[in-house]
Amino acid sequence: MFTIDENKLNPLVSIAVEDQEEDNFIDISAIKEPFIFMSEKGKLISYVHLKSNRLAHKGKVTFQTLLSQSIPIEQVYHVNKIISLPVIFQVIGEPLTIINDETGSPSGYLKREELLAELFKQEEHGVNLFKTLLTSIPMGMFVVDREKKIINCNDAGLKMIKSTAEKVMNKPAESIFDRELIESVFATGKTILNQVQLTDEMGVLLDYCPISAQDQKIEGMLIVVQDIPTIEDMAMEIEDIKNLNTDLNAILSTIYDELLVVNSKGELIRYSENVISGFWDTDLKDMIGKSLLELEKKGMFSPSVTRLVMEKKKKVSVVQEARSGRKVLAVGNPVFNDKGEIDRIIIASRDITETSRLKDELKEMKKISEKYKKELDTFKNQDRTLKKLMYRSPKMEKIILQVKKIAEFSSTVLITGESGVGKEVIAQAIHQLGRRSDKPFLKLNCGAIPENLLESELFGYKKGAFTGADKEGKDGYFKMADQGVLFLDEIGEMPLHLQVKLLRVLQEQEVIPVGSTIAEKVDVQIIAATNKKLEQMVEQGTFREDLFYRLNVIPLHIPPLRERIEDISVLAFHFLQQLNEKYDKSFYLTPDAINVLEFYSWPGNVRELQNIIERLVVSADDQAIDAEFVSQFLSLGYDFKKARPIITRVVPLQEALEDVEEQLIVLAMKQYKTTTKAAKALGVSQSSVSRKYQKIVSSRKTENEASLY
Amino acid sequence: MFEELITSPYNGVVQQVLVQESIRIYEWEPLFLIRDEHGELLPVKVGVSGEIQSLEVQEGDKVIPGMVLAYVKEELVVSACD
Repeated sequence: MFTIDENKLNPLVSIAVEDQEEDNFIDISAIKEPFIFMSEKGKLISYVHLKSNRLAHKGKVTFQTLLSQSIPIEQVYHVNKIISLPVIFQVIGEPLTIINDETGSPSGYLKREELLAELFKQEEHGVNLFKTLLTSIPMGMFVVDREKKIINCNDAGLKMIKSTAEKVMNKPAESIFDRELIESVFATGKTILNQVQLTDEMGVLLDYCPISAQDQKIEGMLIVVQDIPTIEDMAMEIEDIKNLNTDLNAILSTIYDELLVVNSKGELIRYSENVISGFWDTDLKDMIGKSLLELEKKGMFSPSVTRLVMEKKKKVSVVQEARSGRKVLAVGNPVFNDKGEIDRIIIASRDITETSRLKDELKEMKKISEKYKKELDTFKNQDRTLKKLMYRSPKMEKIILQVKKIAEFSSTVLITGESGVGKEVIAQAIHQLGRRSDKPFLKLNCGAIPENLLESELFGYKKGAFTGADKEGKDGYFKMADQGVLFLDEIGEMPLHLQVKLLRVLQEQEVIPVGSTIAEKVDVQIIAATNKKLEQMVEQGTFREDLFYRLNVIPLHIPPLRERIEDISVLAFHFLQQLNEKYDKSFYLTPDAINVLEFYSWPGNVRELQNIIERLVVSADDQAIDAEFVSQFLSLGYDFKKARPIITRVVPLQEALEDVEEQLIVLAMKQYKTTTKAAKALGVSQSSVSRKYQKIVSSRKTENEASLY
Repeated sequence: MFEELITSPYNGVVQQVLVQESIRIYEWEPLFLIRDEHGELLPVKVGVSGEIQSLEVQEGDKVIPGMVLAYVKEELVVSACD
């Protein structure tokens, strides 16, 4: 608070408006005061600046002119003699200030510079007026000179641009502020307001104001800085959103699916870069703002997932098909606003044309691979069939080779061999290895079916053929085995009258069922087997000669086991293993046990061997089955009639006798080990056995030696 | 193993959902019953076996041909039922 000295006040010179006419001349040069006042009814109403450009140097002017130049008194501040600091801000703007006395009536006036001078004189009161002025303005000020260098600034400004005085002073203004704007201000002299400047450090609002001299030349400029903290925040937010947008676009472009954003009207507002080629006839860019529903109506694709989502107001997945034939899986997801209405629909589409094609191909491949698997299985089966044939002897090897050859054809096969040599196994092998392997294999034991029924069994019968027959008639074996193999076991047991019929089938490839006269075509491969000597039977007249020759297309003789000793061990091990696996045991044969098995004559052949092994396993106490144990089960020494030496060709008697003798002695020696026991078994003297055995051994030795050279 | 779509072959309303999520299905097993416009009840069957991954429709939903009813995690091994 400070007071104004009353003596410093200028007197108020006033002209009463009531006293003057409009065209009265007033000599203003006589008035010493720079301001005169107009009063009406004793009250000041306006003032006139006599030293202004219009009125200065004019001697006399009309009252009317004065009135026109008058400025209403309301614009002038009236202050008391005692004034406070904020008043300063009011008075600075006007050229004069009227000072009121204690009663409130004007007592005089002060020109602006006088008032300021008065105020400055008050500094001893501890009031730094300029500082107060500058600091009380919440704005940054930067003064720029003609060289566009910053020559002055205030603290607030520095704070706002987050800089220091050293960094700013005498630096080109354009290093901090906008160069173009600065130049524009210097060039045009016009004030530029409200320029937002955003950098990483600051967010400010700038006013560029020129400082012009009297002659309108730009002497410098004032840059007013306003700090708007919210601008900074907003800027940051905008920056964040920009980053988000960049991220979003990056994410959208990385996603494999095509993404579309559609508004509540079905208009496309955004899409990802991964557009499914060939699905859209038009460029998606042109679709922005257009309704996707229209496209469905145009038939570009169907159905429209947008429409479905709008109808159902929930997530919808649908397979769309475009006109181009592209198949797309589209998943539409609605986004709801606060009111629960659909605001946006996000559609993710995936091209499944390729996937569907691949799936189809995969299914095709699955089918093919299944087919291959089946084929492979049949091959494996063949392999298994071959593995089932256990043999090591060259004789059997020859037979198997023959079997493989036969299998390729459909010729009739006649298998001969003793009982139990495995005729059926061979027949099955021919079936399995041949082209008819996936067709039936029927086995018929001609000896097992009553003679009367055999005919109907083989050829079938028509309905009403005989009493007790099936009403619908029945297909015979031949008919059932059509395309396949018919195995006729024990063909030697077949009655003569049926042999004729069989012959007819073989000859004509057709059957006449019982009670029918019409022959039916059949395609059957016949494999016949017998343990009888058919040639002898033919001679005896019990087997038809023509049938014999008809069957004997491919004769296959399976040698008895005793003629192929090499196979005994293989078969024995095989059967033993089978049993071990079946009963989860681990029996094994000792080498001497195998020896014993090999010396047995096996009248029952493989079947006997199989049964003996089973008997051994069942009765064995020990896991190891040895020779002694085996011997108990084999009726050694007791010869069946078949054990008799059979000479199949004519040889000199002496040679035959020697051969038999040698065989007997070797057998006896192997079995009984000592000559004494062997002699006892053979019923001759020990010395003769010894002598003859020595002879055999030495002769074999020389033979072996001879074969070495 | 891959995802298989089960889509509706018919126009109509889902009358009954015969499966649940995460259960195993076998080939040609009826999965949905859909009542078409003529009121006929039609089953949805597919030649896919595997596990239901998600159901996309509920009973009472209107469906059109091509609409996805469910996703199935298909197993390529031949299932026991065939």
